[in-house]
Amino acid sequence: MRAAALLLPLLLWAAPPARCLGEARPWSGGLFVESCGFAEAAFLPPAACLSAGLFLEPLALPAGNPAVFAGILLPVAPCQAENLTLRAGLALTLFDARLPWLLRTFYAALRWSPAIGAGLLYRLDGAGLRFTLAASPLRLRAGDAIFTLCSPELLLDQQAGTRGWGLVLFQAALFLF
Amino acid sequence: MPPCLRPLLPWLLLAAALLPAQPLPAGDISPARFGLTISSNTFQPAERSAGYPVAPGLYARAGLSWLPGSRLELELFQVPLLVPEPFSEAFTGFSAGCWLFRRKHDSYFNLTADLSFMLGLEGRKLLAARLCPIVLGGPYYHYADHLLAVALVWDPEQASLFWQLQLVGLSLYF
Repeated sequence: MRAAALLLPLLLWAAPPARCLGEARPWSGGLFVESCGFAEAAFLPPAACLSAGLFLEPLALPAGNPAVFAGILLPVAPCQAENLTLRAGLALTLFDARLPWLLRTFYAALRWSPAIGAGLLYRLDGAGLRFTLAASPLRLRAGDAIFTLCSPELLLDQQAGTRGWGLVLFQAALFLF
Repeated sequence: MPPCLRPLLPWLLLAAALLPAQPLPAGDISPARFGLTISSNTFQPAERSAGYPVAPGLYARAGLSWLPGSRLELELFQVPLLVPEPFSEAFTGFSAGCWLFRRKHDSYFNLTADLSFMLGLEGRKLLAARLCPIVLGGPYYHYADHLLAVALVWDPEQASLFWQLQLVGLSLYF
């Protein structure tokens, strides 16, 4: 009974099923957290990175819906606080397609929302700047959140030459406002 | 039932059997038996002075699991290095674990714990004990989020201990 009393707040916090975004779209922005890594030793040493920040999706277009984001990126494994990096850019949701056949698995209305994006990575110690081009084919919009899996990124230098690549393994974007 | 209605019983049963099947509500489904899991993985030394325990980079964990009962879960998995050099290091392993609460139709929150054995590409053997304190999903966990899992890893050849951290994992069970 005592364990149930302890768990009850967590269940109440997590239980309400969210409405599918796109039918009412009450949100315009929130925060994102992602786990990623880069294959370019000249810019960032090999490490698993954690990135977090804010995003804004002000429009509710059925296709070509833009969003802007900005945040910080930190190599966490191994931890290298001196390599703190600014991450900012634009993401473009190509379309929102309903996935009703997934309703029985996920218990929430899901939409497949593939996106492409462009952005920049700037080392806050001034050690480098890279531009990024990203594709997010495995991107699901569920109620008040967007979940992205395995998004590859291309890293370009200031002369638009290819310098490496990266991968966002997981990204969770939660709408807050 | 009044005796005068008894002759009607077989016909009522037949009529009920011929009714079209009703669609089940979303949660009214059977327990899942097999699973697919993918999660992010990182490693950290147990002591600050110790060297980094594996090749540095972004790791993932992908696994196939079998759930023979309502608590037990057996999993075959691989933990490959994805970035910077994909699959230049990878650990293949087997784990046996249990769900703290029975998976049932009104489940939402759970915890899991497991023991695993991992074998690296160059024969490095590791033993790990993992706890996932937050498992969120729907009825019978046909889908589950595994959050903030922590494993203590033992390398018997180098006599070293280190941590394996899993920020987020996504599981689909069938």
